Amino acid sequence: MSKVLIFLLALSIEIFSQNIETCQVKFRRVVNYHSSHDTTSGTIYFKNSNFTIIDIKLPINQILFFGKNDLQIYYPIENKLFNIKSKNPFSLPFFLSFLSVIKEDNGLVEPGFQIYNSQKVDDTLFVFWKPPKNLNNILSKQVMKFCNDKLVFSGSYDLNDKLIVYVIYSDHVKYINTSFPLKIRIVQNSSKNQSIEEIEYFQPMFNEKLPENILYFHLPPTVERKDITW
Amino acid sequence: MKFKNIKTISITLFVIFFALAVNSFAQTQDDITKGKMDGEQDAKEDVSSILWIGVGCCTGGFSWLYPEIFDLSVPQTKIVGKSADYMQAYIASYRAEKKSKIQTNSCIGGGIYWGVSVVYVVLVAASVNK
Repeated sequence: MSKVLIFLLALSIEIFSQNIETCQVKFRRVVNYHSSHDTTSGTIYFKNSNFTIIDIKLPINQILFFGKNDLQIYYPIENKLFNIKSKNPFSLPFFLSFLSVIKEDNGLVEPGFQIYNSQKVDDTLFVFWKPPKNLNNILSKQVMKFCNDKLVFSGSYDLNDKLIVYVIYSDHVKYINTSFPLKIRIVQNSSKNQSIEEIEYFQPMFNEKLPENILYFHLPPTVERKDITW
Repeated sequence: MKFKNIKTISITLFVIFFALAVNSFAQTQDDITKGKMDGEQDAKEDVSSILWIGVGCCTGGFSWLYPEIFDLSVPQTKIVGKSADYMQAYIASYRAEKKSKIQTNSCIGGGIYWGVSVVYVVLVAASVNK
């Protein structure tokens, strides 16, 4: 699981914040891993790389505040706050995969991926990427498939050319010049297990003012705090 | 008659509150147990034994110190939508298992390094004596 979306881990949410001011989107995420089956739903509020809030409503009430190198997790019912600090930036693979379509290169150029080949068959375009040096020992290539200019597949191949992680994008909705996938399926294959994560997005709103209760959210003074170093 | 009704209501309320308390405690325990199990399982899968035996071989087992010096990162996506009890149990058991696996395999690697070194020195000494 640590290899979650290897190529997305190389990306930073900052890359996409240049192209979008705000985003608000409801989601439903189902994770099938080992024998467990977890469903989570809520709303993501994104303003910039220093302001991302995930308001979880199911299965429990949980609010996650993502800063650059810190993550605060607040449980409103228990009135508990966990303040997590990390040396590395926090990443949100399931939201990054949604935002990544904003950039034509899916944000791969910035961390050092390079195109080494492309093939066009009718309305389908395959683009082959060479990984940057820091991922050279894990990945041999990253392949992306576009149908009618919409990203429909992205796969990471290991050094034995085995597909280890792939993402299927579908049900696109167009906003200005970008087709956002409303359904994303992430499959991770390891030697022992396979994990499948399915994310469904609803009613995305771009560049609209975020709700005041989110923008100016204040924790109650009585909150019970706990610090964790990641 | 009135007193009997009050008594019945009181007993019913007590039973309801008691049942809720027991249920809440059981839920907390379930979350802690599940978080602990998931944390251990994920750490086992995330740490490559072969890699850390190799690192242990190269460093003479000193890679054992790695988890003592550096904070061990935890997968963030696993705590989204999870309760506070689950999250705390998950983080603690994930780190403990990861640390244990890194240190055990570093020691195995270190053992191989020192074992091979001793055999090498003995063989060289024997050949010099001849």
